[in-house]
Amino acid sequence: MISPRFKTAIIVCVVASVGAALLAATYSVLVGGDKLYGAVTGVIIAAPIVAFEMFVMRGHVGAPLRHLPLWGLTLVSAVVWLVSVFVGLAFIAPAIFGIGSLPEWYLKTGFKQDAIFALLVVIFINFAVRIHSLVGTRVLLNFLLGRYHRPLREQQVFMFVDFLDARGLSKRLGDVRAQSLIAAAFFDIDEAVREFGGETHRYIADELVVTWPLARGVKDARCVKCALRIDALIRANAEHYRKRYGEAPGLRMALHGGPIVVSEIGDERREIVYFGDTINTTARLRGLAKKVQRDLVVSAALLARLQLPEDARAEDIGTFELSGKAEATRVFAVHAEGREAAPAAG
Amino acid sequence: MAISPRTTNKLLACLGVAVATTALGAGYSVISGGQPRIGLVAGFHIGLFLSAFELFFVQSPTGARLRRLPLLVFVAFATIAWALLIYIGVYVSTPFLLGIDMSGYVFDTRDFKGMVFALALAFLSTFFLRIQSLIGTKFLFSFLVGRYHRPVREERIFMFLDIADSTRLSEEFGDVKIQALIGRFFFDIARPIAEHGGETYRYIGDEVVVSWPMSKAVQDGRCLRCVVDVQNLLDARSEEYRREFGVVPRFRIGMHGGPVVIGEVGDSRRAIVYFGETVSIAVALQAACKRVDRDFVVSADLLGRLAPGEPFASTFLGPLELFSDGTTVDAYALSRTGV
Repeated sequence: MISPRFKTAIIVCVVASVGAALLAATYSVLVGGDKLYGAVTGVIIAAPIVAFEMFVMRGHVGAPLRHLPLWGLTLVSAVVWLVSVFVGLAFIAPAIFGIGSLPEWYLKTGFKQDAIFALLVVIFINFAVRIHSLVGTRVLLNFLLGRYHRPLREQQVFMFVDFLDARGLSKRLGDVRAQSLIAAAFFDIDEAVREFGGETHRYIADELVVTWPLARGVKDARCVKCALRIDALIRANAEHYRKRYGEAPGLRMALHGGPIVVSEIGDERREIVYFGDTINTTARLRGLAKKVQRDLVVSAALLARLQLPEDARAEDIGTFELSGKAEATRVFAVHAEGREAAPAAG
Repeated sequence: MAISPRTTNKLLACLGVAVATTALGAGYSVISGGQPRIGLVAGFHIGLFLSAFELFFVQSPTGARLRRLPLLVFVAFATIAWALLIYIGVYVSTPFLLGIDMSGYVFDTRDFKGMVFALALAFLSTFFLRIQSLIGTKFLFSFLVGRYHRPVREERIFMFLDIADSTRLSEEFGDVKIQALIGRFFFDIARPIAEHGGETYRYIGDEVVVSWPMSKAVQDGRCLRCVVDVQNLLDARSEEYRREFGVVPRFRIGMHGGPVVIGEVGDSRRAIVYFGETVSIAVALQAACKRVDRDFVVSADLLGRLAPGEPFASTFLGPLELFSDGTTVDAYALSRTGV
């Protein structure tokens, strides 16, 4: 089965290639060149760049690169992009059209102009790609379209993840080391979030908030699978954390979904915020997970909307007053099969 | 009237930009084979016009309506304004200042290409300026230079401000309407916060998190004066809020300062987060507001560091039990004097 992430990567590659073909063809018309030659060159330049971004930079191979500071990451990617521009422009495109070597006159005038155009486009897009990780793709798009310019009611799944004992962690390790450990764990968790199409909404100190539009989050039980994958990833890396930081972190997660008000907020500093009972309930569920000592708790309301994966077990742990409203919420603890239902105290 | 520190900063920024664009303009004319004298003057004019437009119009109270537009509309408007200002700088003010007669001048393709280039540049720049508000100017810069790539410890003050009874209000007036009210209120108070040097860190539901560097805030008590101005603004606009939303919001504040660890987190989605006991205490003090039925609770530790003579009366609340492990923090409730 194709993972949503792979599908997205393929779609992005195709869309970007088409976009590059259109842009380059338009440019060719403007400077009086051949449309077809322009379009093909555009694709030849864009396709390797997008493939590099989607499969190398965002893949396992790219992890050490992504650990670099943003300027380092920008530098490395810029070099790869520039090489692609020059190789495409000077060698591959002429070869495809059966031009052995570029004519003298072209190298003197047209080539310079073409190269500058390609470079400007590439620099802008590269910068935009780097910046978008700071904002989030969906957030950026929604801001541009002004989708939440007026508050809007939507259905969303929320996942809260936080560390079992962050205050104790910083007492034992010191605050700087504890923060490094938390950052390392969040970096690893990101992988699982991407895999299941979640959107990282917030990092708040030692807490992570991930969201899905409700329909997408419950499809194939993505939200539950994501939580279980996070749990597995953190356990798999436990030895690594212990060696590096002296301690392996424990996580608590809560999942809930329902109506929420989404809205743009702020002036000089703008954000998209979620507001409403659903998010408060999820936050309280996460508190409950700590109290009942379960790794993952899911509200019955959300669980009823999805089909649990085959290797997952849900256990009814009772009803709790969570929402601040009169009615109580029924809560399930979910765990992967083969893992004991009540985990050892962390 | 004395010039406020914010205005001084804006004037300095305008001057800095103008100097940079003067150099750019001169460099451009040398490369393109024009007269450096013209490039120099045009560069200066363009830099001055654009920075003045951004800082004294877009970022001013008059520009508030503009800033409330959807981002794409905002970018489109700013792009047109920038292109117009660049046009005026090149073809009107520069020839005027240098005494060049433009009456018989005819546009050629080079001018046309130049304008297309200027428009593209204007679009990129205004787009970038608008995007920056999504990340925060300070953080964007920190990201680019990798300042918090390894965690750093700093002394900071945190203010957690939330809307009192927002859940009850939502049930009474409707959640969408109350969220619109919260949005308006946070938009309005962004200005007094920025004027007192507060960095709006983030918005969480009905809550805004603001922080100050400790040393500066301790010097002049700006974090307390910020609260005074937020309250003043609310008082001044209360009629407007009541008319538009049917209710005037009330806010609650928890404030504490001390060492925090600041670090980058994440992979495909990155953020800079504050971490540590100081933040937890500020959050818990804000939560305690409701319990002790006060609107503004400050830790004794922070209040002791702030200069006396602030326009607040303080009441000692005793040690408040803030965490489940029994940790207590001495705290004061502050209330406006003479109200």
